[in-house]
Amino acid sequence: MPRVSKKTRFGLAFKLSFLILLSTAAIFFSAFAYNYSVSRRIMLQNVEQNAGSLASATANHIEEILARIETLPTLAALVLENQSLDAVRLEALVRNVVQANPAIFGSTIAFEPQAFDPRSEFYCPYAMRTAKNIDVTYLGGEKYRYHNLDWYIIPKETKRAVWSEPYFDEGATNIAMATYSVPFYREINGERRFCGVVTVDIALDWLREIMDGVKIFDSGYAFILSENGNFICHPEAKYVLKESLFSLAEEKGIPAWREAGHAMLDGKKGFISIPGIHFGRQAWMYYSPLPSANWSVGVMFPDEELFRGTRKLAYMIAGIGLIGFGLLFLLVVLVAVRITGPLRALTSKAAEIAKGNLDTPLPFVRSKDEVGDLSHSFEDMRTALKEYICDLTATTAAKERIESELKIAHSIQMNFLPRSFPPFPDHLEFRVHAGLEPAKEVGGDLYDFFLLEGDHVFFTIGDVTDKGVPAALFMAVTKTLMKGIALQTIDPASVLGAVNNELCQGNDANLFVTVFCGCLNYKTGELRYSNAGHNPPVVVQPGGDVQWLDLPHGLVLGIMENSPYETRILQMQPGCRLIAYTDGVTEAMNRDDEMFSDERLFDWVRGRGLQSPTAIVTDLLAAVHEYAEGTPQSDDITVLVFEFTGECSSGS
Amino acid sequence: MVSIKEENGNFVFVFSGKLDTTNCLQIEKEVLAHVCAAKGNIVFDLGDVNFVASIFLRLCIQSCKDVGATRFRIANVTPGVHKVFKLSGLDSLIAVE
Repeated sequence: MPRVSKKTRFGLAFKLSFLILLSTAAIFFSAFAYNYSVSRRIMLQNVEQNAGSLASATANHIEEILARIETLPTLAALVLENQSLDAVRLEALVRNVVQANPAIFGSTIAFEPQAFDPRSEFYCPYAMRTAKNIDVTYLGGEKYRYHNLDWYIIPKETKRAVWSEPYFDEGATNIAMATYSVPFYREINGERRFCGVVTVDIALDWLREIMDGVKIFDSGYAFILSENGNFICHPEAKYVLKESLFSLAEEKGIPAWREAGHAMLDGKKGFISIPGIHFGRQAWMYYSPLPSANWSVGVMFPDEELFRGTRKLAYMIAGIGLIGFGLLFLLVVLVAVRITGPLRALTSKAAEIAKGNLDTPLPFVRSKDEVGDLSHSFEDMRTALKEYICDLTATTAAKERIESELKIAHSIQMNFLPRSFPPFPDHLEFRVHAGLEPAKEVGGDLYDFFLLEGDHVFFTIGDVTDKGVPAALFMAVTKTLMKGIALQTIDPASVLGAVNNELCQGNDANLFVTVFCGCLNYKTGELRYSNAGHNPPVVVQPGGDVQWLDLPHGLVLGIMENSPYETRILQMQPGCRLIAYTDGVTEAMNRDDEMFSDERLFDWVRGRGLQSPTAIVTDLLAAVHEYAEGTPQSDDITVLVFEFTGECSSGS
Repeated sequence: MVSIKEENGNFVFVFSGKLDTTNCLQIEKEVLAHVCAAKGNIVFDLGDVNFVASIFLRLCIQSCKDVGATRFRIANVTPGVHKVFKLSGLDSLIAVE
């Protein structure tokens, strides 16, 4: 039976398609991944540049506006250092400052105590833009001790112009403001002494406009951090002036923001990836300093938008790849199925043929490729096999018939030999036993014994050359002739002579038979025997002495008419045994191709020769078998043992 | 197993090895064909033969009958093989040396 796997089997088409698609997919995906990562990197580099430029440009723009604003109070401070202005001119100066720049919301000149008027602790004219005019009021007094306020004390102590931390003007405007304060000095008694500060207040709403103008991707935005990290400007209005990067970092538990805040306040530039502020996604941020006010500009945009283009491209490539992959899949499957289709048909038919169904027609394959060749060879094989099996069946049938005929011949031959022992239970004067072990083929050994008139028992042992049916027939003829002639003449030599002449008639095949025969007078123990080319029997004397029987010369039977044969006489004593055999005994081979030999037989008889004939036959056959060690028996093995007991028969 | 050579007008069949039943059946036809075809005396040289089965004796008898006892002889037999010829009585029929 052909071996059929129970497991799921994958056909050639599947394997081919699978491997091609797998390798294509591997190539496509590595190219895709490489492309994606490189595009991402290039994208990032470009964006860093763009964002950097944007942040720097914004910073410069703001810086420029601030610088223009800074000029006015600085000039005013210079005027105050060199000239002592009276109250009217001071008021005009502050009014002019406010008028000079629409971004300026208010301006003041605040003097040190007694610096303007020795009688007055406070002197501080403040010009403020209103809806229509510029109004001037005077600040200072017990309720407003400006000498202790930041906008006054910081420039005084640091001796330089400063921008204040932006603040909400909680008055009428409610807008974010920042104050620029410039200290001014005067020579008094040869000593340069601090006299007060000139300030301008500016509304920061224009910053908002500038920052709103900064667009990067869809939701990217710009923001400004103050010196303290507060948001001066941020699209999320609730952060402005109320939250700092640090407070947000604390609140949301995002340390990255704190680190970014420190870097920005340190006046550094940088491009970093951090969690987005205002949009809760990972984002990129570029930051750049605004040195004049110690502020910092940041530009932030979501990661997702940065790579949106790259991602879109990637999806496009993946889509094209998948479609291509699908087409390739169809193509490969189609090709594989086309190639393996005939092969599969062939395989199923071959399995059918392998089951022994040789009439299964094979599919016709038109293609002139390996599959076509295979199919044709297979067809040839099927035809040849079919013929061969037909022949074999016929041959086997014939052989079986012959074998069965041989078996019948063999069985007839065996039944031909006397096989019931003891053959003459009434005769105690002698005992006889014989055994014939046939070789596989029909052999030509024979033995026989029968009683003759006058207290005689006649026995024969012989061996026909050749095997098979001719030998069996020749053996049957010989045995029949021997008995037939022995009944007429009791002399062994005459029997052999007569049988020989009969066998020589028409013996074109030159078959011949070796025969030893004898006639024992069981009353006297006189054995008359003759020989026609047979192996010499062994004689065991009652005392155990063993000797080869002295044989007369005699040609095998069936070769030459009128061959002379001679009868000799052996006087057997009671207890004397005669062991006759065929060459199957002495020529039995062992595994080393050595024969049992006359010597081994002689030695065996010397040890065991005084047993009963039955035991001798049985044991000798067993000994020969043991010696052969399983080597196939090539010839019949026959042993015939005669013992003259000398006892009186029960019947006589 | 057997080789044939011509020597002084004699056809010498030089046998070797063990001439058991199987081997004899193999060479039988070939030897007989050569024996029939040969002119002159036939000699079976058994110098290298250590064993002969009885079927070889038949081959000898056949050959001897085909060419006549005067033109056929067996040479160089070992004692073991000689014993077989003697035992079968063939030494009276065929010249065995």
